[in-house]
Amino acid sequence: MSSASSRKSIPTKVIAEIGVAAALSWVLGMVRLFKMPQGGSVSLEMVPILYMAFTRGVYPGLLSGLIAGVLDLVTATSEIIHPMQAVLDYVLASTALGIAPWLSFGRGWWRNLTGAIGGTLAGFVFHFLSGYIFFGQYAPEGTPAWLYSLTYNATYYLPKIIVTVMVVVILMQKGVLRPEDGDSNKRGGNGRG
Amino acid sequence: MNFANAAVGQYMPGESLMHRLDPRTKMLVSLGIIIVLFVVSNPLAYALLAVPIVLAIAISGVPVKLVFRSLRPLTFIMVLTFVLHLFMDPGEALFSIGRITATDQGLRLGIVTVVRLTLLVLATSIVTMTTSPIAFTDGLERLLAPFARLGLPAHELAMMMTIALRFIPTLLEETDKIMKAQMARGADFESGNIAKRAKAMIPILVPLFVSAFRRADELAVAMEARCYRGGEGRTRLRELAFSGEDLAVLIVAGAYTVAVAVAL
Repeated sequence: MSSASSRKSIPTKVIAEIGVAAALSWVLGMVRLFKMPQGGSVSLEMVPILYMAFTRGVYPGLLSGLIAGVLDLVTATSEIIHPMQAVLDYVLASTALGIAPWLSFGRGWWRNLTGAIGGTLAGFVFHFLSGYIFFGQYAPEGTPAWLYSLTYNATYYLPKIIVTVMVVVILMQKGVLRPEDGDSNKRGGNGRG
Repeated sequence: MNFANAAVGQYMPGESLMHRLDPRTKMLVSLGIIIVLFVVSNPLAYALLAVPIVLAIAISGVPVKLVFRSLRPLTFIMVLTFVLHLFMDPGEALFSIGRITATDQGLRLGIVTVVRLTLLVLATSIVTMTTSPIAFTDGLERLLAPFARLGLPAHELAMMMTIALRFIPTLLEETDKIMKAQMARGADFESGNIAKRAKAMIPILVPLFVSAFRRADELAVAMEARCYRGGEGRTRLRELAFSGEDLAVLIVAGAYTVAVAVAL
């Protein structure tokens, strides 16, 4: 947990936003965009966390990820085979998304693009570690555990990164979501399909 | 597009001892049991650790069928682990199918892993099934309170958790409504490649985000209008009370768990 910003009091508005962002992440996790052949599914649960990180900063981003991760654990939508695996796969992987702004370059949509890629890759590191440590035993004989974890995680995480990054960049680009804009754009979106 | 299991958490209201216990007691005891589960590897120890879990399920009055339903998401992984252990581990041959051979060591390790996972899931499920999410976050806040000195925003974290839990049903409904509205206008979420589907989500996400963050804004105003100013000095309608029952359970269960860990 971020000890760097110790005892910094968080504004009520940001507390409420983090709570809502975590709930949004949970809800979007329920909406399966695409089912992968081997069982994983692609959904957009990382989008609200990245959104918080970009609009409110790294610390609120980290907290949103942390709450979203714990929420997954508490509501038992998760697969747990070991306490440490749960911490890596659910808590740390989603918290790590919050550092997206630190991993971004440039300005405007370029910043969002690089940051979103960086943040999702930071999350991937924890899934990879969990796979390496706890699921390595399932690797077929002759395959090193790290390679198994890398390929297994990449098969579902890579499409997830692409989709998440795409959606985040479009959302931020639309500018609809900057809370300062208030109500002006609530009819955004081109629902005509 | 489907909402997999829209029921948030698995809380089953009730009046049993398990329900009455302070969430902190339940969390600490189940955490202790889980830690010991991963420390020991002796079949007898698992049998002994199963006793408090079975006892807790029995007195909770939660239908056994519902408790065991929580194992379902893990069925695949358990079967896989069991089979892999059975055929991959060294040891004396039991039987063989073609070129692969099942070993006695594999059978033993396979059973141990499956039992360990089962107990882990049962121990956590029985706690979440008898503790309301709000009581759970309250307990979490109190357990984390000592770390507040080190800069951990324990109260704020609990508040965010509570808000998130409160908003999940609202936002689920909202998402459903927006999706139906867009579908009525001809939106198509079910076809096309992955990029196309992601793009199709934008008309859902924009109104969803706007309305969700507007709700957050209104909530913050409402909180401040009621003089919310963080954790210090805040009072509660329902205080967590650590009763004699809690102390007794904590001591008995704690001593039992430690004894199992030490003896085996």
